[in-house]
This record gives sequence, C-alpha cells and structure tokens, in this order.
Amino acid sequence: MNAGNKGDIKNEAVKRAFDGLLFAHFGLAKGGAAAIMGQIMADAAVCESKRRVMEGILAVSTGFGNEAANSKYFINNVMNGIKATSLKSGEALTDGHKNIFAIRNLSLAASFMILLGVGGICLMAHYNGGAKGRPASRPCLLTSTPGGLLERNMKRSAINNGMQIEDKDIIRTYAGSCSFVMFSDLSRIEIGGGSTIKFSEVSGLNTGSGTQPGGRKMCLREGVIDADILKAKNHGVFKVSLPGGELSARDARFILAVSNGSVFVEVSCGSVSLELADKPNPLTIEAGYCLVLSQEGTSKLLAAELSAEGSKAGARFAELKKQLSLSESKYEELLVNYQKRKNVDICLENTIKSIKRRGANYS
Amino acid sequence: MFEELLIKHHKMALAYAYSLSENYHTAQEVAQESLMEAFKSFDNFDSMLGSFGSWIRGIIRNKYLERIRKNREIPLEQEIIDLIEREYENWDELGRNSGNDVFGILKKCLETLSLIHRRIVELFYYEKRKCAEIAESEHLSEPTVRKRLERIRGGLKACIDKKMTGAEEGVMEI
Repeated sequence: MNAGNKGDIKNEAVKRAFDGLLFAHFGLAKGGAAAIMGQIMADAAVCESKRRVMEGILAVSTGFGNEAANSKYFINNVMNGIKATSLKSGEALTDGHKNIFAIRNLSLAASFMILLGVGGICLMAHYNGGAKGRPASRPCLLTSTPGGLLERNMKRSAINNGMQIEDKDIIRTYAGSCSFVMFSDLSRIEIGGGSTIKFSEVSGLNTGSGTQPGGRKMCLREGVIDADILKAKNHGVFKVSLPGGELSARDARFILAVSNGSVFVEVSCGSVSLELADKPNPLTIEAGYCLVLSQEGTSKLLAAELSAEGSKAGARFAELKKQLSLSESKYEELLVNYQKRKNVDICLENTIKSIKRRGANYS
Repeated sequence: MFEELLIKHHKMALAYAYSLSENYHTAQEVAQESLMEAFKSFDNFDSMLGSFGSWIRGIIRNKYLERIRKNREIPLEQEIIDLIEREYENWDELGRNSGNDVFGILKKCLETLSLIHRRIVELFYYEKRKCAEIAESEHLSEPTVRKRLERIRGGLKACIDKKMTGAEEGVMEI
C-alpha cells in the first residue's frame, strides 16, 4: 500500500466517521448528513452576517466610543483628503467643487516670494554675523500610532508621521493610541492614550538676527505623558501648565498624568519643580519621588478613562487608579517626598500605603 | 453633488466597512480611502446601474479585500460578505422607498429596550466595557451577558426591519 492510498483511506475514514456522527445525532440517512451540514454552515453564515451588520451600525451610531469618528470630522477628513489628492496629482476639482488651479498657482507664487524673502533674511543675518555659532533650529516633530489627531486653527486632521508641530497646536490621542514628540534638542515626550495637550511655544522664533531655538511650553489638559527632557543650553525650561499649577523641568525623566483635575507626577531621573497656585514656594520633586494631587477626590480619578495601553505611564497610572479607592480629598497634597526609593514600585507602594493611612482624615 | 451624497451615505459606508473588518481604525481608513476613490471616479457612476450606496459598498468591499491581501490576513468568507451586502442593500432600498434612515430608526429602537438591556448596551457599546467587566458590575455571568447582547442585537435588527418596512410601530420583543 503506497502513501497516497493511505491518505485516501484516512480521509475516507474521517468522512465516514463524521457522517456516522451526524447520522447518529440527527437520525438521518447518510445522504442527508451533507445537506444538514450545509444547512448548519449556511445558518452560521447568516448569523455571523447579521451580527456583523448590527455591530457595524451600532458602532457608528455610538461614534465608535470617541469623537474621531464623528460625522463632521469624518466628512472633513474625506474632503481634505480629496483636496490634498487633487493638489498632488494636479487634477482640478470638478462636480461643484472649486477649481483649485488658480489657488495652487497663487500658492506657488506666494511660496516662491516667501522663499526669496527668507533667503534674503538669512543672507542678511549671515553677513551681520547674527547667526554665527548658533545651532540651526530644527522643527519639533511628531509621530503617532493611528488614533492621534492634530488640531490646528480649529481644523482637525489625523497625525502623519513626521509632521511639524506649530505653536497653538493641540494633540489629541484616543484610547489605545499614542504619539511621540521629538523636540529640536532631541528631548522627547510620549503622549499616552486619552490625552489632550496644547503646545503654546514649541516652534523656533524668527528674530532679525537668526532663528532662536524653539521653546518647550505646553498645557496638559487631560491624559498622560512620559517625558525625557535633556538639558539644552539654548532651549528654555520645559514647562507644562497643569490644573492648579505649572511643572518645570530642565534635565529630567518623569511621568505626568492629569485626570479630571487630579495630577500625578513621578520622577525617575533628575528633578522637576512644581509651582502650585495655592502654595507660596515651588515643590521640588526629585528622582525617586512621586506626587499625587487630587482636586475632586480619587473617586473621579478612578472613573477617569486613561487607557494608554502598552505605555509604561498608562500602566502605572492604571495601577494607581485601581488602588486609590479610599480618599475623597479636596485638593490636598497627599504625598510628597516620602521614602527615597530605587525603583518605581516602592514609590508606588508607599504612595498607596500613605493614602490608605491618611485616607480617613481626608475623606 | 458629491458632498451631498457623502453627507447622506458616509455613516452607512463606515458601518459597512466596520461590518467587514470589525476594527474601528481599519473601518475608518477603508471608508475614507473608498470615498476618496469614489470621488475620483465619480464620473463613472451611473445611477441607472445601481444606487450610490451600492456603488460605494462595492468600492469599500474591494478596498477591504485589497487591504486583506496586502497584509496577508485571513479574509471574511465570501458567503458572509454577500449576506452582509444583501442586508445593507435591503436597508438601502427600503430607505429610498420610505425615506427612513437606519440610524434614526436604530435610535428609536434603542429607546424601546428594557432598562436592563439598555444598561448592557450602554456599557458595551458606549462605554466600551468588556463582557467580563459588565458581568461583574451587573452581577451576571459572562455567558449571560454575551447571550443578552446577542438577543439585543437580534431584537434591534428585527425592530429596524419592521420599522423600515413600515410594518408596525411596535415595541421590541427580546
């Protein structure tokens, strides 16, 4: 008996065993088994298609759980895409849309004039010696996983990797996504899921005597960032406006989370300074320490949707949220500068212990 | 003209893309690419050959399959794709005849759900909780939550079908 015959026999055996099983189950003749099996498969397909159809319309009608799929945003995105594609390929928009050739030509002419102007300014600066020895300003670059949005001049667009951030830009990330910002001095921040951050001063300042390196000022309204800030001579202090205060860092690595007015800071390298509206002196949080500020009580903190899946900061914050189940404090500094630690977990443990210990007094 | 059609059909396009991919990001990308493609070849669209909705769905289907092939993923069975298309086509046709909108009707049908079912829908679809989490918070077993979700979907589907055909204004039976 050769190998082919063996295979055929095995297949036949399996088929017969299956037919037998169906026969026993349905009490039908062998010929009917195939028909029954076909019917079962067809029913499964119908069920699956109906489920998918309902999932589709329910997902859309609930906005996929976030505003990225909102009708207006989606339509704008499609229309922007159409316009961008038309510009790229040189096609004119027809069918009731504007003819953009004239606009494109005007834009090209304007760009040319601007280039001439910028070139002139650079040459002037060079001959005046203004830009001598000063590093050229590099843009603040942005990359993102899908789900990141850039809001510029009231218009929203999906983040394209390598985009440059301008002053007043707002970045929004949705659950599960995360974005990275690389500053011109190679400092970087990771923006976790469910975050909203506004950049107030990041682009280079164009002065008469050259381009100043970009500042690093932003406002974290909600969400979580994991920052690695380098000490750069020509750059300003890294500043983040927070609910009820402002954080400054020059050479530090830290995690910062804001949720419903509550703030969590954890420093792993260097130190950060935190100025609070109701404290006369700034607090310095050094490496190995963490701080929790709660404005509306930890119950709000627990309810917050901060799901930076996969990001270290998000995981830590989620852990903290899970365990902070006691306190209902009103803007109280729950913990600062406790026991110095070697790793984050000890700090977290101490934070939780402390909150549990003091929880009754603050509730 | 295209913008008007886009406003009218984009939700269904998204829903269709989601039905095929069952992934929000993929659905959005596929729908967006397809609508852009539709714009580019809008001159080829012939309303005598079929509705705009079914034309768009054809493009979405192709884009979805193209994406699957590119990413070497396992495609949805052709039979299921055809059945999904039939469901959407049916709603499309009923909508054209009666002037009803599926999403408006869905909203009405959701209002007819019992409190416990509405709660499950809110937790699952709006708050994006997992079945296990819902089971824990509602003191139910996980299979019960899954079963109830299945029944809710079936009930909503029947409710939409009835209302689209104008058969009755009835309350959902789940």
